[in-house]
Amino acid sequence: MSNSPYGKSFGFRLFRTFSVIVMVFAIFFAIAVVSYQKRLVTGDLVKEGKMISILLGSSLKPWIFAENPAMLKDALKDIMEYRNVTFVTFYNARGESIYTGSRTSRPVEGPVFSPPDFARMVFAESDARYFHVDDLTNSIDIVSPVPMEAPSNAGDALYFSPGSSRQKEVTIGYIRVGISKDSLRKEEKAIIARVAFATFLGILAGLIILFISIRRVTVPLSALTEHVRLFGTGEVTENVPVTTDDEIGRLAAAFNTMSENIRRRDEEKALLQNRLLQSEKLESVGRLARGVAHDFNNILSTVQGSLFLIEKKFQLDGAMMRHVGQIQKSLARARALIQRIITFSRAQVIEKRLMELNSFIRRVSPALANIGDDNVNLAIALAGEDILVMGDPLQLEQLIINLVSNARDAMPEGGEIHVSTDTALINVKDAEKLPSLRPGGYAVIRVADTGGGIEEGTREKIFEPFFTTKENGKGTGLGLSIVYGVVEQHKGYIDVVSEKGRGTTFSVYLPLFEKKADSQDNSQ
Amino acid sequence: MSGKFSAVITAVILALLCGAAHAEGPPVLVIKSADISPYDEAVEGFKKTCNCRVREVNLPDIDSGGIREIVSENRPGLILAVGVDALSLAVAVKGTPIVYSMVPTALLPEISGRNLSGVSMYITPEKYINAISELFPLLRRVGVVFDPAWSGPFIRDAERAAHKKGIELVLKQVGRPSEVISALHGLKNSVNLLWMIPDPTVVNPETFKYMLDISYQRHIPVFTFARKYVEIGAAAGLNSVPYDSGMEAGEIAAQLLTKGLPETPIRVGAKNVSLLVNRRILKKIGIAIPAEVGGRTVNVE
Ligand SMILES: Nc1ncnc2c1ncn2[C@@H]1O[C@H](COP(=O)(O)OP(=O)(O)OP(=O)(O)O)[C@@H](O)[C@H]1O
Ligand SMILES: [Mg+2]
Repeated sequence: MSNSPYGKSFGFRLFRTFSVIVMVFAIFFAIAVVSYQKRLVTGDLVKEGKMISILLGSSLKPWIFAENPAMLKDALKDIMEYRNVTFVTFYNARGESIYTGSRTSRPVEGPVFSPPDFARMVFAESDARYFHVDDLTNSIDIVSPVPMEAPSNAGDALYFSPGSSRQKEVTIGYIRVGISKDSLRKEEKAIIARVAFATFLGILAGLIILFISIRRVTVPLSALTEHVRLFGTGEVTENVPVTTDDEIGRLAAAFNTMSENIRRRDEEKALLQNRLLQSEKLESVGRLARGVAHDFNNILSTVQGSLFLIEKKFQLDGAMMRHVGQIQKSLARARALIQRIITFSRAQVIEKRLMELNSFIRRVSPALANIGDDNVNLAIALAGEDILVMGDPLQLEQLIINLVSNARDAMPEGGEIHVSTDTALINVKDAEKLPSLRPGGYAVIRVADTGGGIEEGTREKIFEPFFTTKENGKGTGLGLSIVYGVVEQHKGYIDVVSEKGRGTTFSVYLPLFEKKADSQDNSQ
Repeated sequence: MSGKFSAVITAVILALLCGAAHAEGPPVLVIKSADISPYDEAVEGFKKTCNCRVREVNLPDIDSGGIREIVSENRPGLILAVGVDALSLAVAVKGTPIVYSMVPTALLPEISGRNLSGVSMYITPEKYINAISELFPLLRRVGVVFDPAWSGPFIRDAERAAHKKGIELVLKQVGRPSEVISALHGLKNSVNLLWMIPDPTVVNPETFKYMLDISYQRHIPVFTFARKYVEIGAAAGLNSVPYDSGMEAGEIAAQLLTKGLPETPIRVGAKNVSLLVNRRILKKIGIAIPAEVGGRTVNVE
């Protein structure tokens, strides 16, 4: 039993224990009811017997007094028809039997009384003065005296009713009635059957109720257990349903909170790891780039110097001059590229100060306007109120120029570029979406275009260094990694919404300046 | 004990109160068998004719010791015993003359001598037979159950009187009370009236009930000897009038108190009797009584 899976289940053990208790109680109850009922029925029989003996005593008093067996026999005829009476014996005052009427030929059960017994038993029992009851195996034996007002031969009662209530009584004989227990037996069986049936129903109902109530405890418990098990194996599960308000419900809720926290922490951990990896990657790439850029710069300086000397020393003709011009242009581009690499590799260095975003945008707007081609329209929409942030203006300029350049590049056939500022409140719920984002007030710089949008597959890669979709030489793939670095260093967050063929919107969130945050930042 | 004591106190107070009313001669101690109205009536009659101071005690309240105490304290000149039980207590007190009243002759103690006088409730058989033949002129067969030990002489007189009136007495002798029912059972088909005589062997509640059973079943009137039986279902009966009996006893007492004890004790039976009928019962058993007799009867229901 205990080896079976049920034997080990808490619910089953609870059920087993309680059902044993229920059954024991029910059986005790049934036994009590049966014995009580039996007592009642026996009591009824005794009552019946007493009644019969009283009635016989009073109606046959003259013949008992007269000790006339013939008349008694005659009078008993009817009563002997009555099934419950097995025998009736009349005794005279001295206890000698006058007449016995018996329904069966069976000898009278119970003790044989000798004359002195009567006086003793009837008058010894002061309370049950008139009855002596023997509960025998097959019958109930009831002996009662037959009283009569004292005969008047010794007093005034011959002529007068006595004045006082002191009416003397004498016993003129005894009646012994045997009441058969057959009907008791029959009734007993019926009672036992009824009680057994009721008990059975009671136990059944009790067990069903027990089963249901135990299930209500164990079902959530085993659901919780299953969840804990799955959680332990690392399979990600949804929350345990919290159905009740009791200990188990609270346990489930606590488990939910715990698993939620662990899950969050895992996510955060993965993210942090990812970011560490990213920054390590950036770091090494930057170091490499810086070295390469430095050497390149020296090489380019040499090339430039040599080209300068060539220009000075040699009288160059028009075709040659064009070639030199071409070289110089390429040199300039190479220098610009190196400059970008240097900027990128330098991105970690940051000097934040309090700045107002709207005036910043206004200040850089001419530069932005220069970026655009003739067929690109740049629109700037600034927020009504001042937006204060702690930021590095040089880096932020890099950021916005990169975003606007990308927007322009996305619209070779022309289009609209919207640059706007705004503020946003990130509440706790929104903050939960990204582990790095803390709830609070944010400044928003939005750069939207009406270009071709970003392909679904390339979306994840756009922030990686050197990722570009632009054809050879046209893009370095460093623009958005610089932007990402700047945003990170400002403890901000960048969001891309892009729709194929309709345009892309980059939203940069920077924490709004707060006095407290300010002092904290300065202290760091 | 305290009950007895308080009874003595009551008796003494009663005696003193009564004694204050009649100041002459020694007092009379009245012992009643019970505190019931016939006995009270007898005592009233006694007081009427005795002209003496009276101290009254009731029997259930006092025993022979108490009586002896009162007697030795008050030295009554005479004791009036009303009823059998009172009389049997009184005879235990020696030396004081006793007058009895309301006692059936049959139950008189066997005391001869000058000390015991009185009026019994004895009604002569002639009076019974006369009343029966007057009241029920058509009923000629009269059944009687008796114990010769108690009522032998009475029955002999009764037979003589019945013979005179042309009434046939159907007699059943019994020796024990338990024989009475069977005797009555044997009588019930051969008589048209049951005469119940004051025989202590014969009369007890069960036998009386059985007589009534026969009476109602067979429409046979029961003729009895005391008012109480007529009240509870006998058709008719004779009754010695308690007041008259008391008056007679008073006369005897007055004589004893003034003239001393006579040579032979004065013992008489009932002089005045009333004829009692229970009209309801008569109607039930369907027996009419002659109109001229009806006027002299007392109806008891
Ligand atoms: N506004 C935009 N619309 C469509 N695609 C964009 C947009 N901005 C960036 N991209 C995509 O992201 C890629 C990476 O951009 P990133 O700025 O890092 O490099 P790049 O623009 O290709 O090169 P560089 O900035 O050095 O000229 C781009 O090649 C382009 O495919
Ligand atoms: Mg770019």
